[in-house]
Amino acid sequence: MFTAFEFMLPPFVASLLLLLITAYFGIHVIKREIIFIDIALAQIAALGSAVTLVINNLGSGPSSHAHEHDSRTLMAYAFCLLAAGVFTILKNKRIKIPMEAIIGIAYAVATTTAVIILDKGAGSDVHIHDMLAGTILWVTWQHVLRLSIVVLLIGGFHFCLREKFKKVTLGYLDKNIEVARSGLWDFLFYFTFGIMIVEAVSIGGILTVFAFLIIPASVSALFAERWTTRILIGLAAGFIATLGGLWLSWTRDLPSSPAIVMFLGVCLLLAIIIKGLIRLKT
Amino acid sequence: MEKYFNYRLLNTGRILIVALMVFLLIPFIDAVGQVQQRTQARVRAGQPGKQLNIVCSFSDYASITKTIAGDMANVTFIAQGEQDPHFVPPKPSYAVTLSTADMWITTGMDLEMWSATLLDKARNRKIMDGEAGFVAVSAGINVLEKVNSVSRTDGDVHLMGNPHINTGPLNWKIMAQNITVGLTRVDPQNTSFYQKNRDDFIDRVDRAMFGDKLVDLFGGPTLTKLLENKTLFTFLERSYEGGKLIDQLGGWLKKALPFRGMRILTYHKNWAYFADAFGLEILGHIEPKPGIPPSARHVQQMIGMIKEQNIKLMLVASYFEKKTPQMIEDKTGIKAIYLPLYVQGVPGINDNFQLVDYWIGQINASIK
Amino acid sequence: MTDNLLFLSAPITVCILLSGVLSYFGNHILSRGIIFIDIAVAQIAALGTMTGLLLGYAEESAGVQVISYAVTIIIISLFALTKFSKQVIPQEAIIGIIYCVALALAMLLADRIPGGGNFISKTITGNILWVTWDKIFSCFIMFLLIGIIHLIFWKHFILISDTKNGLPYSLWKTRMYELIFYITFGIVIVKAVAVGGIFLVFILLIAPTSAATLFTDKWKNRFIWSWVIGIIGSISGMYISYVLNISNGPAIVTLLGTLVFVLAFVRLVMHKIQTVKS
Repeated sequence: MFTAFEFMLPPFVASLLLLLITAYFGIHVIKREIIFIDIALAQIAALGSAVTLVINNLGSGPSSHAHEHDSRTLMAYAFCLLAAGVFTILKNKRIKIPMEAIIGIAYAVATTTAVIILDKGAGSDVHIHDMLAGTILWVTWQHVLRLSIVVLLIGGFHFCLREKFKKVTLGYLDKNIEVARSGLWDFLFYFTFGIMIVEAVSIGGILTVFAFLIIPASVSALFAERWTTRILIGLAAGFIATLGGLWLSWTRDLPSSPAIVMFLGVCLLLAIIIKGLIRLKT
Repeated sequence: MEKYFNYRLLNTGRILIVALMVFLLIPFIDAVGQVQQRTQARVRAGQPGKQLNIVCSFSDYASITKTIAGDMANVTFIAQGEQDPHFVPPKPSYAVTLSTADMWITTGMDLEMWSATLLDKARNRKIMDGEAGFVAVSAGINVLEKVNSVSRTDGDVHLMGNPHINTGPLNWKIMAQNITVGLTRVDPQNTSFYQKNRDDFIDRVDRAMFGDKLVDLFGGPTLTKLLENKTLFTFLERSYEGGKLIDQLGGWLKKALPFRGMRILTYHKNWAYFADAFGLEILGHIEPKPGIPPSARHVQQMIGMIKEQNIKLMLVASYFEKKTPQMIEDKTGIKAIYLPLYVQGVPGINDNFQLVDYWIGQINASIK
Repeated sequence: MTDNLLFLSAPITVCILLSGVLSYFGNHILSRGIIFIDIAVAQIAALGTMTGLLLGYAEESAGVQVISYAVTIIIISLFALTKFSKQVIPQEAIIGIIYCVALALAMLLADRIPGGGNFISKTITGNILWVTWDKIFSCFIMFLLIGIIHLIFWKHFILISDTKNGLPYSLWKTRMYELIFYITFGIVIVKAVAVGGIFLVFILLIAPTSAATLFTDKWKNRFIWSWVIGIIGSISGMYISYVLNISNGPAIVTLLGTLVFVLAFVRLVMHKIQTVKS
């Protein structure tokens, strides 16, 4: 028989790991104003996955389940690489389309191309697997281990090179900031971000990851400027929300992603109110 | 340092709006939770004492299981009657009930894709595939639309065949058989009890299908074979006691006579087994692949076919959005009937028999 | 051949209508940089529909539609009022937050409604192939009315959309114009998504104007070019979907989207050639 603790511990730890990395990435995302990039990258990765599925179908019969999963993940990474390349090339002064629009179009094309490919290439037993809700409630310690390795690697990479990444991001807002070989750093940013998204979404689902990226960073934007402080505030808000969300999910028997997101929303509202009250006092 | 809100403009109005939004959210969450709890209570209504804990994927299987197991088991199901069977959102209670289950009853044809991770989390040895507590109700069923060749680029066929087996009453008998085998594995002491209930259930299905008179004359198994071989109605043309055998026909087959042989469309492939049993000819599907809107050519073919063949009816499972079927109605004059796919899909339908009664009743009402 | 044309005439008309109205709004949206607002609006409208269903109205009744529009207008008005001269949280982020909270709510409510899963973003599909002429007519009337409003205020809207120049009026006056803009926008999106589905609306909103922006800066030229690209693109997409026998919405989306990327690369190459020459 499950106790609440046993049941919720792996999802809780997984959420914290996700928050660790998204509280950081979220700041970049908001500053660059590419809010919906995670949805776009998740969809592009899913396209890669769909392509593998079709290739597997057209070739010999279905291979073993684990083998197939790995090849799909690899293809997902490859598509992220491609997308990162495209985004970097198109971040150009000549191209007057805002980055968000390019991301948006990439998102729409990725989704519809996946539909067309699955329609034509796979048998009808492939239902469009929606990664919206995610399966964080069913996460096992194996998944958590894998996630922590990814967070460690990517987090570590970004920690070592944080100044460079920060500068490129600030360059999005302020045209005067010039970074040598900004193209390279842009590319690395999108690529590592893409890998993180693939891993995160496979566990938490698009909704949770999206909310983790945007809301904690928004909360922290209200109260601080320095990145370290912002990450800590974001983590704190996310921690409280995850706790509340998982608790609500357990007691009311609700799916966990929406519950956590609702709590994050409430956190943001409280933050706005608190901020307003602070200002009123001064 | 004026990077933040423009303080001078902060006024009570904005705080009020924000506070209002917070207060509106809280009762919402609460209301949703309340309804969830009520559902749980309804689902778990069983009796205390040392009972088997049986979890089914769908309400139809739960209904059959309850009939066979009676008071020996507490039977629950996961997918709600009005939900899309392909997509069931994950809730903690599912894994919890599975973790203490003695049996897991599922279709066994890749319909319940959502159950794989659920079972992983539940980590219940007893109900894993291959163990005593696992029952795949589709074992031995005469599966429709199976693909024989390896080529799948044709696109339109399930590899394992059409998994929506619950719509054909004849399939229930085989399901009952599989469920009983599972029950006797897990609880051998009560074997005779389960087998008696199963036999009663099978007899009840036969009588509901063919009517008492024919079952008394020829027995359920013979009639079933005739129906499956599609020779039943030829057989019923034989004379008997001054009239024909067909005058002795009763049950659903009799009630379904008005639409026997009718040509219809269905929105998705849910209705194959029902159509097979009751003589409906399904000429096409609007959306054979869920989530993928049909192409222009397919739509044109459908419209053309509706006109040429004078198709009057379209069966739509009630979990689909009504918007597209209504557009089709407007465009072609066809009539869409929305039917719940499972038991308890509509309040008042508590077992499989009532479900088929409802289906037949609705179809007959529409063709008047 | 004429048979096919007759069959496709209704969907093509819808494409022209939708392209026309969406390309126009798209120019404003692009300048404001709030690209995903239509996805957010669609989700909110779906949430409104679910609320209506929960309150007991039948799915096809007018009551549900009214509630859906009402909820959309309320939320989008609140959004319009969150414009500040300096944004700590950028407007796109606010849209993102509204979107994901609305989505979360929708997922929580989806259990309570038969077919609840149909009201969650990606599954908000439409199919213009089934559209009837009286539906087209009602769309046309609605777009006409909104078009008249925009004709009256077009200068103001351009001024408030051009974010480079900061706020053109006082804060509250700007907000009033924002309100009119967003409410009309919201209504158009709800209607368009009901007919065409979320992805078709999204691409018709963004892609033609993005393509136009690559080559010109002036508002008037952008309007004209985005209209042309939108109409030709959607009709070609429909033709391709017919010939290749693929799903028609996705065909149009993929065509227009790919077009933008191709044109973007062309632009870069042109520039490279120019710099090499000089």
